[in-house]
Amino acid sequence: MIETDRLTKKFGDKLAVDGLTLSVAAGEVLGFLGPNGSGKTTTIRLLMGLLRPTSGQARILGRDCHTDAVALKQVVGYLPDEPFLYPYLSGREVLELVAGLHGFPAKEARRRAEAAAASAGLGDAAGAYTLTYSLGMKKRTALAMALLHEPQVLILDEPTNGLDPRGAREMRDTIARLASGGRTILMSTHLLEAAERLCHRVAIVQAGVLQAVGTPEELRARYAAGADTSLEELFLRATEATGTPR
Amino acid sequence: MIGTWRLAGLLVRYRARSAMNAVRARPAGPFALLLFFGLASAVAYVGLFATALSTIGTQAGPAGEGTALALMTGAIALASLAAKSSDEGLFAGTPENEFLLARPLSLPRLVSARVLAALLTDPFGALFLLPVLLAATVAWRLPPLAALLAVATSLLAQLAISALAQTIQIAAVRWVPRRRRTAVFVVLRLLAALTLAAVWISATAVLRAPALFSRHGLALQRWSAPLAALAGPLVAYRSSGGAAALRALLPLLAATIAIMTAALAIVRRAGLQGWEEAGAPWSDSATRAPAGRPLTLVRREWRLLARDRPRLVALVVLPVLLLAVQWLGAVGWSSVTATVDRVAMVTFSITVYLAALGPLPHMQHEQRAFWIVRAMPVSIERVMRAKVAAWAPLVGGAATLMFAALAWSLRGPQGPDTAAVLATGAMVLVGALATTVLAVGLGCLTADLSDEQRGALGPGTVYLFLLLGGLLNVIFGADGGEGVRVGALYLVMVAAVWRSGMAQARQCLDPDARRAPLRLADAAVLLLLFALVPFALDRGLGKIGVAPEATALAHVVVLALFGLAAARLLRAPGSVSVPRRALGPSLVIGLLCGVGTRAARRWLFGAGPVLGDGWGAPGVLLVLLAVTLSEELVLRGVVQGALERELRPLGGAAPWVAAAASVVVAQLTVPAWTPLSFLLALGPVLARATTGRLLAAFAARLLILLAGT
Repeated sequence: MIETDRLTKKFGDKLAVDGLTLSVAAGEVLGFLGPNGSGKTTTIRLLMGLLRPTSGQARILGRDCHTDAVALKQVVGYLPDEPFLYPYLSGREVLELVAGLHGFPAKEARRRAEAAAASAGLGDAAGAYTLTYSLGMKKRTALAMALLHEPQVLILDEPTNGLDPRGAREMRDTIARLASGGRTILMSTHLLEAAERLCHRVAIVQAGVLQAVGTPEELRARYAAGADTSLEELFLRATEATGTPR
Repeated sequence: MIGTWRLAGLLVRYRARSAMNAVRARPAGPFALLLFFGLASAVAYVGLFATALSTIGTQAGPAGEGTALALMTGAIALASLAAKSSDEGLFAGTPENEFLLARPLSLPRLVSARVLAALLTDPFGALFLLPVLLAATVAWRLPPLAALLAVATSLLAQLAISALAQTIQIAAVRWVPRRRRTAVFVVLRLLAALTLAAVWISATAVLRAPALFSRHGLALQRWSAPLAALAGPLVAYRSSGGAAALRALLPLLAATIAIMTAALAIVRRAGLQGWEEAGAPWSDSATRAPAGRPLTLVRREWRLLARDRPRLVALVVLPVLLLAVQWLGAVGWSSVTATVDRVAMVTFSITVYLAALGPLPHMQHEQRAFWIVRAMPVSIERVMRAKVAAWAPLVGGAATLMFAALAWSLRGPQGPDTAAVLATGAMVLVGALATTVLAVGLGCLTADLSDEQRGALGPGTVYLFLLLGGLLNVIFGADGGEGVRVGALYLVMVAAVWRSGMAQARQCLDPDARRAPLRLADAAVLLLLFALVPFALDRGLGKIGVAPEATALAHVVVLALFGLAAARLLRAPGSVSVPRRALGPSLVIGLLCGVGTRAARRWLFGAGPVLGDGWGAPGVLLVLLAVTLSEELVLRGVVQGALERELRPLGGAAPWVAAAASVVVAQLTVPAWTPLSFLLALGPVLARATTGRLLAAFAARLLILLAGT
């Protein structure tokens, strides 16, 4: 469902993503792990068609992420790391705007916005300006925006980053619920425990290069680790070989 | 995929809603102020240009008017294009780009929709061109239909300008290598500054000296011909009627369609590459910081400025352009008519603009990094003093250089003597240094860094700074004693702003911190304006020959406005910081203070003048009451109140020390100071200090004023 083939992105002389080949099957949840600056967000932006690859290809549902970017966004939901919300629009209004941008008629846009605000648990805050929102509320609103058009594929960039324990827990529960609904999810995260619990497989990147990919069991076998070895330990083993990130 | 028109409609609807929400949330916030000033300026421009065009028409006929209109509209269109093309959004990137591009929208469609939406959501695009065109319809007494023609011309011009500007930006990031983009940005900014200067020069010529323009402006006809497309429809309407006007509109329509088509073709060709990466942190990752000496607080400011090239360019370009305009362009000002005081005023005005771009937004540049200095064992005063130390040589040096350059043009047998030039130059330098301190202090005073989404500096602060800085010009040309009084008042204000600014900077990272209800800075700024605005009003109205009655009325209105401003400050809960006596005893004490002051006056200075018959008239009494109330609200309410609050650590002595300080400070507002004015202030001051009530001071003041003087 999501495929990258020797995907490469250079910024000037800097190689941000280096020949990444990866695939995510339908209904699968893939955890995309890596240290800061390892190219996770760049890969996600390439998948969303927000960046043009220097070479290689990225495809979702068989469509090229760059040339078919507009059509793909009808079936892909995206949660950025630092979601932008218009400060002087309410959460409900931003959701209505996004529904409008997806082409829903005004009445349907309003209905979807209401439903999304309710499912995001915004409550009365849905009518408040987003400049008053906490980071957790902003992330929940942004996730509701990503789900408004009921996409088959979800791409989530650090969904729990910056959230307090309760917020992170709620976000994890929401992602688990979405995964059990059969959606294909690619999620970058630093929370290895959550990744182990939520994801069918994990991919570990370091300095733009894919270091390892597989289920936690497959990774344990690859690094000759015991059954009780945590994903954190596996992550450290996978990333220590290549040293500091570029 | 959503269509272009629907997308434009959505952008308009939600931008308008966001703007209305912003006004509703902060009725006196930056957006509301900007809208108010924008609309007020537009209305004022219609009147000013209509008057100027009529004068030109009387002396130079329709050809002269057509040339003036073509020159103005052409210059505005060019300036608007240059300013929009050099918008920082492109190079710094905007989060809104990612927000919109993450939706199913293509770039050409987004560009088209933004161009269309800007017709309604970018009021400043219309506010600059439309008033000039409307002024022509007023001056030429054209029927209302012509206003529609003006609107259509303005809309077509805006479409073309907006499409061209977005295309320039997209093409720049698509085809200009990353390392050269800053240079392109700087060139575009420079072009914007030059074209804006051209607008200023032409507007100055048309508005300030229409008669002079009519004599020499026709010579510009040849040069203004390529710019005639915007003025053409109205000129044609005036000379040959509606059909001719529509024919004259056709070239503009064709040009707009051609520009839109070309723009979309270029955008389609460019695709996303480059544009979406603008502002990404990787863009500059290849730039390595050169090795240098270890950073101190002062060196930190210089290094940050040296690496912020667009800001550095703006700081260098602004004085150069303004000086060039003064030297070469502005009609009505030349080295022949200049005096050393005028040179000082021009220099100081440019210096104030420079400080508004340089030290004033210092907290805006701190924003997310301010926590670093707050977490260090360094006092906030030391950090801010370092900022002053870093900026003072730059602002002071620029002021000295500009003054020297302009003063050089005064040399000759009729020129001023060297001592006068040196003395005035020293005053300019001191003024520039005081302005630097004021800029740093005011930047702190209004900073709220607790919310990253809000800027630390609003347009209201910039306008206030320009007003306060500009008022110091009163010093130049004032006689010696007056200059000393204004200078002292100015220094008091700068010191108060600095003190309150430091208090605000200490708490600016705390979102729950409450602003003190009556700060020393509020009182000092109000006092300075209270003292200098009437002074400037007298000078300004006197120069253009306004009748004394009208001048007096203007004074009353201004005083009433000050009273309202003071009442607003005093309305905040907690604005009175001393215990207050009951109302009845306070009134009695107030009257006693009044009686005592009158007795002392009679004993020391003899009986005062007797009021004429006219004083009993209800209208006169009403004005007298309003003026007295306003003065008491400002001097005893705000100034004495703020001093009491500031001196609270002194305990029971605070009201008396505050009373003494307020008498001294208030004397600086009196243009012709005498011991009598000092004595007359004592009654109300003591009444307020004894009772803690403004009413007592008001009663004392009224008694002194009305009972037989």
